[in-house]
Amino acid sequence: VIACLLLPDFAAAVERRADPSLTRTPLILSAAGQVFAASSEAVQAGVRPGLPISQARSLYPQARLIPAKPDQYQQTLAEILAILRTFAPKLEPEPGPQNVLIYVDFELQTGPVQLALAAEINRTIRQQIQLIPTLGLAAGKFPASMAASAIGLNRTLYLMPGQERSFLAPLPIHRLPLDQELACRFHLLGLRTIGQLATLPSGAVLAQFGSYGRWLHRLAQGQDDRPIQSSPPKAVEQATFHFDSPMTDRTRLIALSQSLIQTLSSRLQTKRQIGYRLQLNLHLENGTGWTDQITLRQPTAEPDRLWRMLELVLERAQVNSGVVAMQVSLSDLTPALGEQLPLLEEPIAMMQARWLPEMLTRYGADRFFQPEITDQTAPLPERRFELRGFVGQ
Amino acid sequence: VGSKKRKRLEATVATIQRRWGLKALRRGKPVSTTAKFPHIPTGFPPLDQALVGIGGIPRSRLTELLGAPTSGMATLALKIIANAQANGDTAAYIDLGGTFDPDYTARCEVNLTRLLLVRPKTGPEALEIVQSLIAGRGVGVLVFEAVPHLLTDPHGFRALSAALRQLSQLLPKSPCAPIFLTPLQLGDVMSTANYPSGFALPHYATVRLLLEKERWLQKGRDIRGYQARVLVLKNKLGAAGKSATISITFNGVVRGDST
Repeated sequence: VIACLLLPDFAAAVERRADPSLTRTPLILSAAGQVFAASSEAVQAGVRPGLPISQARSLYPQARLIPAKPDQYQQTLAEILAILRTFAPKLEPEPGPQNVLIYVDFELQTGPVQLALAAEINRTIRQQIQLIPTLGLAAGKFPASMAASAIGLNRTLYLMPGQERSFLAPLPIHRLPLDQELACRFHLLGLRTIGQLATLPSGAVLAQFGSYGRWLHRLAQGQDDRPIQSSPPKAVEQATFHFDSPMTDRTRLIALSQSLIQTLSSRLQTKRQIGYRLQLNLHLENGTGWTDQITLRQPTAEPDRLWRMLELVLERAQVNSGVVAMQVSLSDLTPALGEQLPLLEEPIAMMQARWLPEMLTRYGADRFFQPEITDQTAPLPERRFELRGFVGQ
Repeated sequence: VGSKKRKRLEATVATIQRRWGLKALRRGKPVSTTAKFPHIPTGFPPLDQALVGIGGIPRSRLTELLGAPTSGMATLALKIIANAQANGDTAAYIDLGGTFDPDYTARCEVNLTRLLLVRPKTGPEALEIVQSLIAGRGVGVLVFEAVPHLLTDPHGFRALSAALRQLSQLLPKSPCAPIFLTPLQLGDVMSTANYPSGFALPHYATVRLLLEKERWLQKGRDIRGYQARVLVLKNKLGAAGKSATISITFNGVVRGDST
């Protein structure tokens, strides 16, 4: 049995959780001049993700327009997934523009245990994340998702084996994953409900609509044998430093962040991993925090490149209070591709990793170089070499 | 030693030990004359032989190279680096003046991937970095080309004295061979007037080598190198005063030969 956890109007729900005064206010979340997401009231008025903001406002002028915070939504989704992993190892999130669906595999559990687990999941999400989900349980992903969307918030619907077809039959046919052309053809043929499609002979459906139509026919009959495509949790590597007393000296913060990057990089290189997303967290003396992140064009674990990216983040840092702790993390880790190591020579940075980072932190990275011959045939001697810095060059 | 003299000596030792402690006077152990001191070969066998009791540049001790500009001091230092690297060591070059030439260094057969170039901002900072490098025990040979800047810096003398005092405590625990390059003014290099008075380096150095260019080496009308004489001015581990002649040719690759 597969459980489908549905979080309707996810982005709006996260915003309302952050600011309870928005609970009863219709919301339109904007990003880059377009609608990122909207609350259910605005969706009913015709506001859709991707619409220009001016059009959305004309459709539903009563809605309050606020900027979307995709990072926060990602973070909340990651927290929910972490909770769900404690219940079942196989998960498949399907984040949509409006709603978020998460499929959980309950394959090995018996019926009563599945229901108890579903109730416990519901309760835990409500308590720890403060969002209200709905849960549908069925033999396949499609009937489970339909079950979840058919009921109200904070409820669970369990479709017993064999009940799927009768449950799906009265639902409108557009609930199936149709493209525009198929939807038009079904409409012209007078097919309005899923049940009407399910009663057609499968050979005729195959002849008329091809293999995709055959698959839709099977979905309409409540047969969905797609497995849960579970992906491993996204690994994060982080390095943290706690100050004895609140630090306000920006130069020292920069020097320390270089050292944290070195630590992070050496750990990742040991594990042969590279990361896509670099994040800096500053915990401030006044109890607040400052967080910013940057997504790298190419994943890396090289200290030079990581430091260049972190410098950009540090430039944006607005610190109006002493920093008590600093954390640098690299997420979305993937295995590093193999590379040819030098056969006879060992890079100096690797060889002296034990003491060189300390020297760089203490005296500054602009004091230490590794000379490298770049063009021995250049007429001017000063053009024949390059002084390569270790960090921050 | 006669019995009277021995008794007097024992009484004197007892008096000193009562007053200054047992460790104030201790009996010395016999020194093995066959065991060689840990060292880095210079790459010039006659010079290694001239360094009696060592066989090269001593590790864990200070070495000073003196000479007029273009006498071959820097080249000799680079050849020592190349030899140290051949034995698996890494090297550091403290270049305060910003005159380090990687192209020439590579032609002296130095492996640049095993060379750390340090460009400090001030003389005292350069000395601090030297101390950290030696304390870190990460480098096998360290060339300090910042002495002229310490001479011109009003605080340089004092900073160098303090740093050398600390280095003398750090060096016995480190395998590093620090080499200080002290350029002398043009003219009579043997004249003491050319050497700064009150400079602490000669006192702390275990080995002091003076380089003097003897003549250019010519092939037809072309100059293909030069010949220099190296005099061992000081050797705390053996007899000083010996000299060796070395020749340095530069035809694409800088080579050091002994003559």
